[in-house]
Amino acid sequence: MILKTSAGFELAGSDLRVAVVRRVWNTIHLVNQWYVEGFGELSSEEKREALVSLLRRHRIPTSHIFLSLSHDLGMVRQVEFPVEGIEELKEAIGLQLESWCPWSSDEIYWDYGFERGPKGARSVTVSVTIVPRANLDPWLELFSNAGLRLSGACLAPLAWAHAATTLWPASPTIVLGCEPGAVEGLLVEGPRFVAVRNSGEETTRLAQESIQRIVALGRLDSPEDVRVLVHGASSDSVPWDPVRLPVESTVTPRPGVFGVLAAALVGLKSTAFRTNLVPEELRYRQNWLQWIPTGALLVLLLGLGFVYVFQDGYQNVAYAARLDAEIERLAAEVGEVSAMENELNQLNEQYEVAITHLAGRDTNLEALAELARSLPAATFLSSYSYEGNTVTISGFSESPAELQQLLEDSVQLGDVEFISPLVRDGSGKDRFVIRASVEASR
Amino acid sequence: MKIQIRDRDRRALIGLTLALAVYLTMSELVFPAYDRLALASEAAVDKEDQLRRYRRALSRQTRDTELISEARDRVAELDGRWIQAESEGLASVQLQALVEEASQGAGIGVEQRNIVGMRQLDDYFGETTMTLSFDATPDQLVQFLTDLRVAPKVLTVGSIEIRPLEVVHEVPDQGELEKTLRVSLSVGALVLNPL
Repeated sequence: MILKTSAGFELAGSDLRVAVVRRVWNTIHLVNQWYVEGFGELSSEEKREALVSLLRRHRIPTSHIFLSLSHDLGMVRQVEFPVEGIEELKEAIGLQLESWCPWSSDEIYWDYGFERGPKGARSVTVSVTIVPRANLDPWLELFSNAGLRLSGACLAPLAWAHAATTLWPASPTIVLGCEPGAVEGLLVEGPRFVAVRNSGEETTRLAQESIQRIVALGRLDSPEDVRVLVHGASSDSVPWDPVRLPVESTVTPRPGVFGVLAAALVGLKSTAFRTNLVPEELRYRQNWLQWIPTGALLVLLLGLGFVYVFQDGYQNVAYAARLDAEIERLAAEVGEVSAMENELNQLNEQYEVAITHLAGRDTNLEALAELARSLPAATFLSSYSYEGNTVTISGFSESPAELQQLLEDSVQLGDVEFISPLVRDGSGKDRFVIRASVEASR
Repeated sequence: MKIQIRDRDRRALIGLTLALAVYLTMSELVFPAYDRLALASEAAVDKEDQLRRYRRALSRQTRDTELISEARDRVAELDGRWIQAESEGLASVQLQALVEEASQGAGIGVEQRNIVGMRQLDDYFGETTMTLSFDATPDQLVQFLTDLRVAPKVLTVGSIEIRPLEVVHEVPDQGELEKTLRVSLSVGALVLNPL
């Protein structure tokens, strides 16, 4: 899931600590934290009222609530199992429970966590947590009275181991929880952990002793490379450099927030140490029916998106279909009109051609009349020819040079020119050959 | 070898299946449908243009009917001016008849005549031509040419050559100069829709 929010609850000493943590992709955000001092000393009814008040006032999300119990309320244990028997792990653990704890199996809640090792590993390390029902039932009842159901509960050492593995997956980490009257220590290295608890009032000394025991029990090769995280209400009395938590936060983390942060992280990540002591039938279960309106809205939104994207195209398709129908309806009539227009064009063309032929008729009569009118009386023609609107005449004249100008001045003739030299005839006249175009036909 | 499917493997397989389903749905259904619908816009514009052209054409129907009627009348008016014959030979016969009628009207005796044949001028007209030669006085020639021009069918003198039989250089002192001309010409007639 991309976005998930979880609330962690922890009773440390007599204080109730609450933190809301949100995971966005793989980034952990500490949303807020609240401490209720003296919560453990209240009566059951006062606890219920304080819890309801806290939840309502700060609008703490109630769908994913995880509780971290103190180490002294139960026990944790790590055992090695062969890989071949991993499918029957639950039955195998169940058979051995009564030999690991002083309670009978019907008096306890228990769970286990593990992760498959690398390929070829022959065994797997399993973390088992056991808590007497008498220690967890009051909490289940408290939350039930407040109208809530827990999503999960676990013992603090496994919650811390889960948180340390989530926040610093690659390197060994020692976590010291320093509260008034006790120091709890935890070493996490890979799938293994070592947990110790020292009770007493001298927090500094208890912390040193816890570290020494952890290093000894954990058989660390190079203790100086181990990250040491000290938290809790009495952490100020332990002279150790503070470790910055790799979480995004808009609030300043308070001392001891690691424990409650670890409780909340149980609901957000999965590691070999993740366990849940709350029986499945008592856990908060999400009613999937509540997602129906969201799903319906999403489907509706998706539908609206599709409608928005495809609306124009669909309308165009429908519009084009109507246009097609109209075009088909008109096609027959348009075909007739088209045939009529073709006929009209043909008739017009035929008429134009006919007019052109009529205008192109010969103009011999006009040319002969013009020559009779224009030529002087002493000019005699010996030939006249006409072809293609060009007239060629030859003859004799006393003054042939005037002929060209006379013919040029006529209305019908133009482009008048001599096409051969003038030759004096025996009669004393000059022989000429003239060509002219008949302009009347143009 | 036993294959173990863990939760995260199952989630990855479900995610992969969903991604594949989304990809196939989008690539095979949604995008092709979207492309088709996108093309519908251009198709609608084309069809609008076509319908607009159709409606314009229909709006011209009445006017075109009137124009066709007028054009037919105009063309029909001119049809009587062309030779209309079923064959080239019949067209030549009509031409010869018209020329003979004109020559007889002018009192000319045609000495030689020759039918050249038909040639196509354009899609609507052909031309049948004949050549002829004769002797005539100037008055007879003018009368002949005038008769050709006013003939019931359109006749055109394509070429003409006129020479006097006797060349004169002076006007006679007394009496009328009797001139006789040797004329050679070609006459063509337009034939409507030749076969």
